[in-house]
Amino acid sequence: MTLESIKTFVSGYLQSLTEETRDDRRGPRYGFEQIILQLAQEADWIPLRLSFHRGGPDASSKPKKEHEYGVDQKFITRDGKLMIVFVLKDEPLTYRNWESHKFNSDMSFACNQNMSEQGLERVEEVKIILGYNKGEEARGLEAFEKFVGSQRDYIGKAKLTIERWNLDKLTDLVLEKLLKSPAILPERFFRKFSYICGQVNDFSHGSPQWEEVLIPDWIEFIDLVLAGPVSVQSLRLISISLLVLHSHGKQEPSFATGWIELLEYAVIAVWKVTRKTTDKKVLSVVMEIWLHLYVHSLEAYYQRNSPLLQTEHSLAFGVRGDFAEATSVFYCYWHMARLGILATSFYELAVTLPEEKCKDLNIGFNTVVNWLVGLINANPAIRRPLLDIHHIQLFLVWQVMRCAGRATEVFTVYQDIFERLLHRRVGGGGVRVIDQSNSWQNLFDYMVTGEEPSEGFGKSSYLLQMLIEIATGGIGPNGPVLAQQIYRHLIEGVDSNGEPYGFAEEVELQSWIPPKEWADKVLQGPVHRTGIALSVKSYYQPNETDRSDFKARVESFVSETRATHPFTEPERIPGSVLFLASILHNSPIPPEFWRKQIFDSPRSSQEPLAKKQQRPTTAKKQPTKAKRKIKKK
Amino acid sequence: MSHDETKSSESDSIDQVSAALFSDGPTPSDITLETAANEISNNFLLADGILSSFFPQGIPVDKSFYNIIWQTTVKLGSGKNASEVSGLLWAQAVNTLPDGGGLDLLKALPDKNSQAFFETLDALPTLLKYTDLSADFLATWIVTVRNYLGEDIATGSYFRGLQILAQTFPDKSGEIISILEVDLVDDRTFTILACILGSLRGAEICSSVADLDVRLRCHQDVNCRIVYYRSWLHTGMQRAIADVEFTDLLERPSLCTKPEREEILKVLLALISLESISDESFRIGLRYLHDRISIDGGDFARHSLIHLARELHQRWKNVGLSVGSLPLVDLVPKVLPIPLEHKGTLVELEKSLIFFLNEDRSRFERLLSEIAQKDIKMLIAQFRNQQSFYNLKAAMMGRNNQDLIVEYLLSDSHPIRHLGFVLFQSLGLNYLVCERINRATDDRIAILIFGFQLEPFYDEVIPRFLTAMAPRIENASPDLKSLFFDELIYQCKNLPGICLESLRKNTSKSELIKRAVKEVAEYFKALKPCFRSEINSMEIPGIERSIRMKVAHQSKSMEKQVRSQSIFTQLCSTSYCLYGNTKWQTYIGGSLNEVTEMKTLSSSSEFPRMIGIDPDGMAVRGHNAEKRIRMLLINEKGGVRNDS
Repeated sequence: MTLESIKTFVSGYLQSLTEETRDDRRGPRYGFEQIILQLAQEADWIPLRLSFHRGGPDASSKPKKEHEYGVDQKFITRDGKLMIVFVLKDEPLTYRNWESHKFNSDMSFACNQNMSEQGLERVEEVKIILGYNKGEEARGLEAFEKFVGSQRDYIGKAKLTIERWNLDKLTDLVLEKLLKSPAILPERFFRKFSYICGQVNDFSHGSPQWEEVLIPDWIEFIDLVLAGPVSVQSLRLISISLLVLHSHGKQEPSFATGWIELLEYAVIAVWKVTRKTTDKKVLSVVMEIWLHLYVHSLEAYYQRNSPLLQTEHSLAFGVRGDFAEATSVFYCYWHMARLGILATSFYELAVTLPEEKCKDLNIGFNTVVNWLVGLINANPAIRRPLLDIHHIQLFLVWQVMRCAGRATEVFTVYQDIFERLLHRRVGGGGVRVIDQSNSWQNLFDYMVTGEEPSEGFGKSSYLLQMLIEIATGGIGPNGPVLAQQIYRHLIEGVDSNGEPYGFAEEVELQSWIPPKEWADKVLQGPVHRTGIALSVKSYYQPNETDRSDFKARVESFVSETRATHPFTEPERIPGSVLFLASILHNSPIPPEFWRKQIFDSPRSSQEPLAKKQQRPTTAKKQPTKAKRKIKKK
Repeated sequence: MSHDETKSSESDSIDQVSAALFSDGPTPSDITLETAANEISNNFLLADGILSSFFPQGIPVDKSFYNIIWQTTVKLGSGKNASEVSGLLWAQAVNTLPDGGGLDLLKALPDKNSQAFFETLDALPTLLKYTDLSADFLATWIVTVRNYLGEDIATGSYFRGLQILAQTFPDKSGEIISILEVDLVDDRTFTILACILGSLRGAEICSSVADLDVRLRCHQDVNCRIVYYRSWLHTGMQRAIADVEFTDLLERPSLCTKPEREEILKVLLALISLESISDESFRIGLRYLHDRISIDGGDFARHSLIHLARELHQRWKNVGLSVGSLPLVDLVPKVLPIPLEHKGTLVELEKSLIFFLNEDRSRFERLLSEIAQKDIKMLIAQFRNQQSFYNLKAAMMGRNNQDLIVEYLLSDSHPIRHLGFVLFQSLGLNYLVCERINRATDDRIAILIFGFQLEPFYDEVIPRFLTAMAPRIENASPDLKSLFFDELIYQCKNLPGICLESLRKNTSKSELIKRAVKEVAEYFKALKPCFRSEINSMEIPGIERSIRMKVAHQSKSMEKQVRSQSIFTQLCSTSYCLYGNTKWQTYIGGSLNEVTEMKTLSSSSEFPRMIGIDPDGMAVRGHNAEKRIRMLLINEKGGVRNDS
């Protein structure tokens, strides 16, 4: 992340804080008095007065009920020579607020310190600091300067100085002093968050500890922060947590991807809360986190690493020999997914903006497409899907290439996948089947023992059904032939002469009808056990031998299922977010995502055709205009 | 020697036998035993004396009798004459036991609790010679004894007994055949009857043998006919078989069933190796084998034929070559394939190949090619395995094989090319510089390179072959150069240790190799920053557990393999040490042995990278290579040049 973007997030966080921490009917409010205290502790100042009672490990601090006479916090240096008095305001410093929000009176109270109190004997200087986190305007500053000019130079024997810490100053101080400290978060999160910071510092990405301890703790922490009514503040807490977490990351290369994974759980969680609100400020912060934290981090990561990814065999280099054929697939599909999401998010953003405003986005999109193509060309593992859930990555590749006007190039990738799978199934290649349980553990067990881990191992395929549907209409003129070959050779199990290959198992095509409110559910967690499983037993009757109309058969199947099970497209959420959620939750993506781009709209009994076409879409059918924009690049 | 002296010496021999049996006297000499046996056979009262000394209470009709017979044989030195003395005692016991006690004693022989059965069998020929048992009893008893004998290899005495029986009691033997032929079901009984019939025929003393021959030969039961054919084997062991008999035997097959044909084949393979077979019969036999032999002959036929191919080659040259008979060696490819578990047959094949390598080089080359066409899998396995065909490989290494190997490599036939590669590998050839390879077209060389891609090579043979090919490629078309260059690149990436390093030493020999080495060096240089970088450092959930499982799995299977293949590990016990991993000491049989250092045994080899990087791509590569070879061969035959 760049310093600029970090600064923006810190500033946004500070701005979201109130003057003091308190619970009200709208839920917890977190104040920036905690930040002041942390800055003071960082400077080794001794508190003389705090405006709150500490809350303990899991509870918020509570404001003191006593009259504060303008003084929110008061500290003294360890040598007793400097006393610092904070007047805190969660209002902008404006001329109007100077009086109406008691800037003036509170500052006046603060300047009238009783220096005869015990312990202040050695004080040589009193510094009054006006801290405010909501901006300022010129006339407000003028009022402040006027106030400063009107004050005497000494309080008793101590010299009086007056400062103001505005949002920029606070941001700079936090960046300088606090960004690595879990204490930047409100006190109630400190213990949990400190523990997570420790884990991030200790555990390697993907290790059992990472998977079994850190990720559950991180999800629990996010849920805790986002519990209650959705607010800008809780979202800002997530973003600042991420920044702190990043600074604690284990000093090893694997943290780069680990950081992305932590981000992913966070962004999915914040998108989840958008489903409960229409508050534009909230939506704006969510979008900001998505774009400026996640997408930006992804882009930075791939900017840094794309040369490596485009190096021939880079993802199979240095991996364990015995399992190299699987581990290289693991890495390849991990990166394919992220590059696909990155490109999709650029594209989604570009199509929402006027052409003149998306020049950089188009450049970015084309760059990511080239990275993706480089990855595909350099690493043959791309052509070896091992889990059925890898259909998401194969879909993303197709969609991204389609958006770039290069859909026909996907033909060779899909064809390679088909040919290699054929060799795999006849026992000539690597792992024989695509694991339908989407479990790496099952797959590794199979590789060790040679025994199928379950009765249905490799016997059902949603991935192949997707390839058939996409090939039928989405990858150019040779696609339908490929679709037919996939069906004939891999599903029917016969060669071009009709002779059986003698595969060890028959594979049945599967489709899937997602559950209602699929988007909400996939943001919550896995959805692969919900919805309707659709077994595509056969496109033909047993006595039919002619396969020349295969394309029409597929279209008919698609049309019928779409008409029978219309899919309600999710609104107010980008497709890329849903794809990410599907990947994180090991859940399939609904067929409608590719069908709507390939096949004519279905005739539904529930909805007129015209209305359906007008309905706003999430991952939009490729508009001609947008496509042209990309091609212009 | 006077009559008295002889008598005295006979009495002495009995005394010496008695001393050995009852007074811990020395083991009598063979001459003494022979004399004693003669004396007893002339005067069985002498046997009574010995038996009553053994059994003062009377002869027991159970296994304890056989234990004494066994001990008698052992005490008398376990030789042929000792068995004869024991057999005479046994016969006298059977002959003198009252009230059918003799038959009961014989029935007590096959006793599962008796340890004396196999040793007693050595006395069987003598027993059968000196007892006059009914045919009915014998028909049952000899089958029972044979079945008890099972698959034990100690059947010599048993069949010698049957032979003696046939010679001593020919009519009764004929009766036995008549009794047993009624219900012939199992192969053991076939052999019993075949032995009796063959012995009757061989002894030429039984007038009814011709009737038996006619009856069995034309019997409606195929099993009886099989007995007839098999009986000739036993006849052949005893006397020379006349040409007419030989011809008559072999003329049957056109009429007979498959089991009969197989039986005749087996009999023929045994008879043809006999020196007593006339030259004419030998040639008839060769012709028959050439007409009839096939893979259906079974394991015995295959093994015998491969053995006889060399054993009878000289006789073929002497008596067959001049009259146009074909040698047996030409039949070897017809009996292939040889299952890999038939180690004995494979050893025979190796011996035959060595024989022809030394005897007749062109015949050897032809034989090798024909074997490759029929059973390339076996041939490859034998050449590749360090333990097998060792002597053949050693014999071939001493000769110039380059022309032969190049001829094989440039063959149209995939198995022959495959053989060429395997020979190139196992004979350690370093050059392929010869007229034949220089003359070969670029398409033919391309076929060779595609053929190379199909070979499961993972070791030093790869750079050796590529280096050997390089001189030819330097003069080739740009397309062929490109194909070869791609292969160099692929193999260097696949095996950077074995291939790249080796080729690096040969850059001065070829510009293409030099370029390839440079390019691959760039490839590895580019890969270096990828090692444990941000793109591939994350751990994969579950992989560590699977690696542990895999190690355990491999360790178990390796231990199993070692145990099954190592006599040493089968003989010794295994200790699984818990603590301490450098030194070892044992306490066994009450004494503490010396402390010994543990030895670590390890071996390493380079794991081909492409198996992990792109296993499916390797399969596709092989598939494409096959397609390209097919295409190039078609083009070549059609006169169409394919430069791609």
